[in-house]
Amino acid sequence: MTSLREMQFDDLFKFNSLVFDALTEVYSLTFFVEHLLKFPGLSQIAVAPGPEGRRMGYIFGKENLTRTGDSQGHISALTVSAEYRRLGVATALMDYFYTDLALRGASCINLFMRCTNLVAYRLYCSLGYEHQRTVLDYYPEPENAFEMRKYIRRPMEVQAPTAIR
Amino acid sequence: MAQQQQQGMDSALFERRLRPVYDNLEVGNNRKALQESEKLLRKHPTLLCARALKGLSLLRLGRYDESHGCLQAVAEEKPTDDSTLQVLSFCYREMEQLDKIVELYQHAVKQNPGNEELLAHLFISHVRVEDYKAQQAVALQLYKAQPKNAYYFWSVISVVFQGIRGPESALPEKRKIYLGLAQRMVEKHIKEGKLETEQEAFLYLHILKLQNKYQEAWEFLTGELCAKLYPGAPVSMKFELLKELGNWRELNELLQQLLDADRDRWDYYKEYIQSSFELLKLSPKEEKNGEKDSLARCQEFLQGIIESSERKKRGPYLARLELHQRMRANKLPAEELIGDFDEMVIEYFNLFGDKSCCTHDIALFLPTISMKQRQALASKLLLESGVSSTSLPQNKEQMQKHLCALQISRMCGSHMELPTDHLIAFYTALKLHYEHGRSTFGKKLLATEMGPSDAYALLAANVMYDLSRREHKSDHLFEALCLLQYVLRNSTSNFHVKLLSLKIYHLFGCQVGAQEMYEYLDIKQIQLDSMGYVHCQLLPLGGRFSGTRTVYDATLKFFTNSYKERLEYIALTYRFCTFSKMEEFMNFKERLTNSLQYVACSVEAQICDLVSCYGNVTQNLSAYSAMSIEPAEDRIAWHELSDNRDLDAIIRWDPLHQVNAAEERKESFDQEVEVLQVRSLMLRLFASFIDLYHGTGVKDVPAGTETATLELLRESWTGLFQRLRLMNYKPLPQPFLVNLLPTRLHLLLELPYERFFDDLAQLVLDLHSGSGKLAEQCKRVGDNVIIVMDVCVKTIAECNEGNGKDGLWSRREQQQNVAASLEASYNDILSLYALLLSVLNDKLQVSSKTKTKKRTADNKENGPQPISEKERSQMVQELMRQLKHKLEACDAAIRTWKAPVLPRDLSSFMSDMSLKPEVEATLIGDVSATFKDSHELMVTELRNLLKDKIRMAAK
Repeated sequence: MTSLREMQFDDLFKFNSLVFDALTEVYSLTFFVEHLLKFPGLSQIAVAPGPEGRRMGYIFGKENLTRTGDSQGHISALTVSAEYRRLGVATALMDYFYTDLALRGASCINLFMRCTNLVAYRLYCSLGYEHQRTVLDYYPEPENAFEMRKYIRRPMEVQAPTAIR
Repeated sequence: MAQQQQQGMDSALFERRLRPVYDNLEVGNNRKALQESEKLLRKHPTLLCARALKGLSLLRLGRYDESHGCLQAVAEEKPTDDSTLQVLSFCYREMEQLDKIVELYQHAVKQNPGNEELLAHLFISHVRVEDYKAQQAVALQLYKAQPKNAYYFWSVISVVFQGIRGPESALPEKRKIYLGLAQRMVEKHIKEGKLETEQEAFLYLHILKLQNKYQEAWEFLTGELCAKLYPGAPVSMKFELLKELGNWRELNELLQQLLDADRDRWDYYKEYIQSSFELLKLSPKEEKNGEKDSLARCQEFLQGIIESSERKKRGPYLARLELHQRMRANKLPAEELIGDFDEMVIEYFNLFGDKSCCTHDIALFLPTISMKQRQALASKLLLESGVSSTSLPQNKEQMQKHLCALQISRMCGSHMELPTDHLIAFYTALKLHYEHGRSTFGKKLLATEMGPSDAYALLAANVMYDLSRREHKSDHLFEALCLLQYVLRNSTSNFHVKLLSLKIYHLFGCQVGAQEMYEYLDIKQIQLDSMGYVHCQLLPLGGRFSGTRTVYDATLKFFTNSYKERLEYIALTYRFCTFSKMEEFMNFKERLTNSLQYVACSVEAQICDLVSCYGNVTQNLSAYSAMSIEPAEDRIAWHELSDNRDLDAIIRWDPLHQVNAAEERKESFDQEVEVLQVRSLMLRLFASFIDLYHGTGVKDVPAGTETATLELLRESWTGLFQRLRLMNYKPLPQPFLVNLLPTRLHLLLELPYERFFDDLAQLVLDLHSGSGKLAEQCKRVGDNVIIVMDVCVKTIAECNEGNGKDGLWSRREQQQNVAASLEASYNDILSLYALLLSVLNDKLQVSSKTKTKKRTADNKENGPQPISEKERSQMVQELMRQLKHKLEACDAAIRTWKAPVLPRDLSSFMSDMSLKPEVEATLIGDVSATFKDSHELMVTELRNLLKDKIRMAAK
């Protein structure tokens, strides 16, 4: 049972129950501000019912344009609070991102994840993401990262290089 | 002339020559950068960019006067080349002289009309100072120079801001004019077929909504153009408009479709249920005609979703409970239509009780049923969990259900009514369950995971706080702390455990333990603002100045960095044309800038520095002037202070009927603001004392008014205390472990702060004027010192005494708290006093040796002869002698201060756990050592501080 909505700046003051998680990085203000200002619709937060609106999880994403003008989605951060796991929150957030990027005419979505994070790996695989490559020492601990990728299929006529945007 | 010559030269050459200066600045080697720029200027003395860079290097080196002169000279040449302008605006940004950047680019644009780049810079410089009208004009010039859509919409949004944020926005007719204009501007663009992006479409919708033109907004939103430009428009926009238009039927149908596709969306269900109620209001007669009413249809729809879903989702079940709740609130026959409430909750519990969010879900519906029904329901759930007092959970799922039922019963207030021995037994059971769950289901835990049974221990800690509070003894809470520390060893990433431990350490005045937990939480970046309250507000009471300063430094660094960067972020919003986020961002920026946490930390850090001054008078004074406190100027925007604390991060299951989080937040915030008032005024008052003797500003003031600031501040000081007493604030009650700690306000009121600084102000004034009442005033101040000392010594004695008695831990706990705080605060007072005396003494000694002409002039005019400087100096020295004596007495008392005695009997603790004796011993040993260390560190620091002050007073 989730409400999804665009991430707002004020959420940054209230997402502590999410970012205290051991695998969730608290990025600099610049990271958050840039995502929200540049790709406002692509960062979403899942909120639980109730007056306090407990934060359940969030996704920070962006859309990159390649040199050929091709659009690609990138998921920068995804997290779900321990209390709200195994309820499909992550899937809902990922689905949202996928749908939005498909509307924008993106060709694929990628993300990086810790190679030890098995739960995440299983989730991404179940959502159709595939292991693309392994990046050595991507994380500071150091830890390797898997790059996961999912291609967005669409009928030929829409695939013309100049999508609406 | 110089510029033309410069432009004629090879710019690539200059760029190469300037490179070393830039590089050195980049890596922070400012001295070298200065040398490089000077070297370059010897060859090319007119090179503006090099001169600007020299100014920047000087600025970075802290040579402000030289830098200012240098930059001023460059600015007067009215540069137009991009690199010089960039360097200058960078300098002005650092100095927060944003209006100068505007001037700079205005000149540049005047010389190069129509230059796109310069105009864009000019536009952004207006953005920084939030001059919307000027923004609009420049944006239009830009659009004329380069007809880009972005520029056109920059002017549109500038018009919008004039209507909703600018100085004229308060006038409804002006607002209407501006918004109407903005609308026409966009519509003209639409007609010309020039609308291109999602954000432009958003802005148009926003402008329409701001004018309550919902029908037009609806038409645009559902029209072809919007579908093309803004396919990802959030569907919530449609809800919002349909609601405003009162089109409930369409909303109802839309939501049914959406819910059919996505059956777990609370935002949809909520609107759906509301629309059903609105439809009922519109056509209440349907029932009579034999048709089903909208609520029956709603129930049927929800039931249909429940029955047709293969995988059970919480959505429709919670929606049904919500419908039930709202029908009851409207006095409609909920039971008849939907069924028995308890049964539905139990069904929900059976389906989702194994998820940890189940507790919060069920809690949503508790406030609307009676206390009696709540407790009955809680018992039913416990029964339903299948775990009784004699059995253990058979699997993880059952354990989670049991936890959920226990949490609910606490929320229903069931624990509060248990007798003490039951509560103790309950605690033992919780401990046992924790250990059982850990050893059975939590074996293969990853370091990043929380233990499955950790919640038992969290609950246990809350129960133990209740017990401690009930018995006024701290044994229970101490045991809870040990348990939490044990849990932390098993699941190192459980932040709930860290937060609760932090709280308990603070309750016990154990700063070392608190600091350890704070570091363990790894609070950083924006969390320093929203979570800093768990630690920072309590630090000034701990008596440890060096550790405190480190925490403040980390916090302040975040704020100053983001404060600087905020200007660039604002420029970003325009560069990306993110109209939907501009207002939100401006509000966010203001919340950060006016964060109470920020302002309070800066003031406390300054006080902390003054208190811990340890050098000679010259060193201390230069440290003081580096802080650049302006006593005459109140820099705090009191009405804009923002409460950014995240109080929901700490998990709690306290009885719902006794928790009023909003009220607690408000009360605590109000008191924290008052604390800040006292502290900041104390700082300014103190600074005015020093400035009177060593200030730079005083010289410019006409004779006779040097003391005006001091007198004014003194008046505010006594006025503030008078008001605070009238306000009659109550200390924050502490019914539960997860409540906010009391503020320092009452401590500040109880201690002789007011009198001490008031008398001190009089002393400083009398010393200045040489008043005949000086001797009397010296006596008063001396007496104050004695009072402060006496209380300090007495508190320590009481604390030691309490230590000896058994079972008085809770009293001792308070005393230690008070003692610690008294210590800190008294030292505050006395340290500041010592600093002041040393400064006064220094000054008076100097002036008594060199008699000035002014004094002889004074002698002629005034009737009564002022006391001679020599006598004044003697009086100050006498006060210093007394202070030294008293400080020594205080030091002696602190030396006798004993470490807290911890509850002796912990043998029962953990005896039920499958702990090896050595593990148990080290655990309790570690916790006890933390307390001992904390006490010793505090004593050492306080004694070091006293030693410095004694030395200061001895000179």
